[in-house]
Amino acid sequence: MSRAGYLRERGEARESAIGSRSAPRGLGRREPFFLTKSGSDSSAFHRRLSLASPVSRVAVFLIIVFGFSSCSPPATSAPETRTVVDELDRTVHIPIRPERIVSLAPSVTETLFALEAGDRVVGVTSYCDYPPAARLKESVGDTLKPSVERIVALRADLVIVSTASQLESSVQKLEELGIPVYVTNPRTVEGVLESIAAIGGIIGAADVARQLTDKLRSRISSNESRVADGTRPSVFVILGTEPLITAGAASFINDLVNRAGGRSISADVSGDYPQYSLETAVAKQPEVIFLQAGGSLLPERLKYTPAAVAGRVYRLDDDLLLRPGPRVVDGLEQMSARIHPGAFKASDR
Amino acid sequence: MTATTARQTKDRAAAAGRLTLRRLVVTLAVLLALLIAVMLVSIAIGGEHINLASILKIILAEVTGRVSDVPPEQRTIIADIRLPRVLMAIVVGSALAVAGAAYQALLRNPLADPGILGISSGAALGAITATVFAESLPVSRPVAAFIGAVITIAVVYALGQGRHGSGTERLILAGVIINALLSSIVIFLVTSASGVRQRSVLSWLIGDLSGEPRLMPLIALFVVIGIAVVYVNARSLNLLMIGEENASALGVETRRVKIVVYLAASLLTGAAVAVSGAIGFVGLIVPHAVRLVSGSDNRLVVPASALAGGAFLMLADTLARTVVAPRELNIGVITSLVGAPVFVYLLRRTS
Repeated sequence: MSRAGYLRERGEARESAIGSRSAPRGLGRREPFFLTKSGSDSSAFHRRLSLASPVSRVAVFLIIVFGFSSCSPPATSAPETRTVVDELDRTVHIPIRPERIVSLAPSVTETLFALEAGDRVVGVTSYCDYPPAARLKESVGDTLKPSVERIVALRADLVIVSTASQLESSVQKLEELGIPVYVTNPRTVEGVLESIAAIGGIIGAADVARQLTDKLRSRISSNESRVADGTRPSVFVILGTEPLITAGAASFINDLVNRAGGRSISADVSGDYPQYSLETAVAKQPEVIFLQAGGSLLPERLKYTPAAVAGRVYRLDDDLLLRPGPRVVDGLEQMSARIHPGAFKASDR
Repeated sequence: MTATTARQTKDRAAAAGRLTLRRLVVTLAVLLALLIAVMLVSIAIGGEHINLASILKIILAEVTGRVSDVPPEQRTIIADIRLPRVLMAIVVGSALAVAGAAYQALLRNPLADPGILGISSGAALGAITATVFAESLPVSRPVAAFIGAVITIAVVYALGQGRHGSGTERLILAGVIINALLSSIVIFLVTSASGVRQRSVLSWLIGDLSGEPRLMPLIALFVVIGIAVVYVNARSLNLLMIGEENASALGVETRRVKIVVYLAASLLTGAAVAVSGAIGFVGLIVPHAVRLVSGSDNRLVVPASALAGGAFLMLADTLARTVVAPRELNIGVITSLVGAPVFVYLLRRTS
């Protein structure tokens, strides 16, 4: 289970890094005031570190060491913490209002920004590229090997991770250093909403979270009524073509296809991202095929499938499908509009 | 029973000493029959079940150019997916097995395989570069892999040239070093690739025959030429195996033979790896299996390895396609899993 989640998260995270999203960094200036605040804060920190004289370096070193050691036994000494149970049933002691949050997954970063807590995010992964403001945050490395030193240097008071697998050693180290680590583990669209609510709860943004999830929920249910036109076209989601990789039963995408009023031809295949037989893909005669935006072409040998013949091969931004964050509802709506074009024609599309 | 085994062994030992035309023809005929049998089975079964009658109709229609009454998707499955893949397995299997046989003779090293001189790693680096930087590098994976292989062939060859000509030890050392260097770059690229891309690259590193068959005719041409070149030099390789000085004394132009065989075997490796990824085990074990059964005369080992390698890889790929259908396994997993027991059996039978 957790391995499946790990792969999903990794898929989500890394795809975005290489996928050469062309959004320029300059977009960041559209972002609100808090950016400048956070930027100057971190540069001040660096200035302090780069003091020239050896004496002051030693002094800074001592300050840092003592600074950290004094705050390291966290839960017990600091009165202003609360105890929560994270999505992997771990008990975590978290400050009532965390002010320096480090996100170790693009989906978590998106969630934090959607919860209007972007100004409290001090560190993200190198794959966190949405919203554009997230790119301006200090990077603590990638999702698999975050730099514990950097997280400590950022004086993080909360680290949020999406599915722990592979992160065990760093999580353990962070906890030994007194930095609480909260793990989210969404498996379905419903799970994403629960995760958003949970994160809202622990960062003291429960109201914003409720508004956000209410909004998302109403979009989901209006989408649901739209796609309920009595048909369920068969859908083939292609995540990779060399070899052919699709979404299996354990994948999050399966739930999306279902909610989008489609029937995934690979829903019965075990695993999350199985390598799939081209023969079976042809034999199942998919009526709609989804490819990754900017990804590879439709395999030559699928060109006689009903989907390809009818011109119903579409590209979707896989960040929307693979990142279990609030934008998953965007992905759901885009997918629904492709599977049930009639239901969406008149109004907004 | 022990008596018969003993006699068989004795006969074989006697026969292994000298290659007769009859033994050559019989061995190759048996292997060819085996290849055809495996081919029929491989076409008959796959991820999707299609009955034999339909398959025959489809093949007949393909050959005669007429239209058959089977559903078009079945035609796509057999003619566009399964048949090209089976042919690809034969081509790649023969190439790897002959390359292995050639390297083992050339380097006088029983552990030599098509990967030993770093050619596979060079191809892997090319393929992975093309996959990881797909957006900015519009080169198809097989082409990039082949370019990587050719560059590696040249570099290893240049490094292998000592002041006193190309010693085989020098060549092995150059190959091993380049292999290590390229492998670490490959691993770096794999670890920094994205999720699905990482899957794709890993699958390629293990070996996979599900790719587009478009380049197949070209690769097949390369492989046929490569095998022919190695075969023409089989006699010289026999003499080289005794030792370079002896070979020279017997009139072999050792330097020329070594260069030609090195280039041919490396191109075979490069071509095979370019379309299928680095499939292990075939190139190492098939030539040894052939030698165990029919002696070590390269005039027999080379063509026999081509046939046996093709049949073996085809069988392995059929298992990869069918065992967990509709999922697929990587063929590299199967080759060792199936090949090792077969080899142990041969080893015990002939010891």
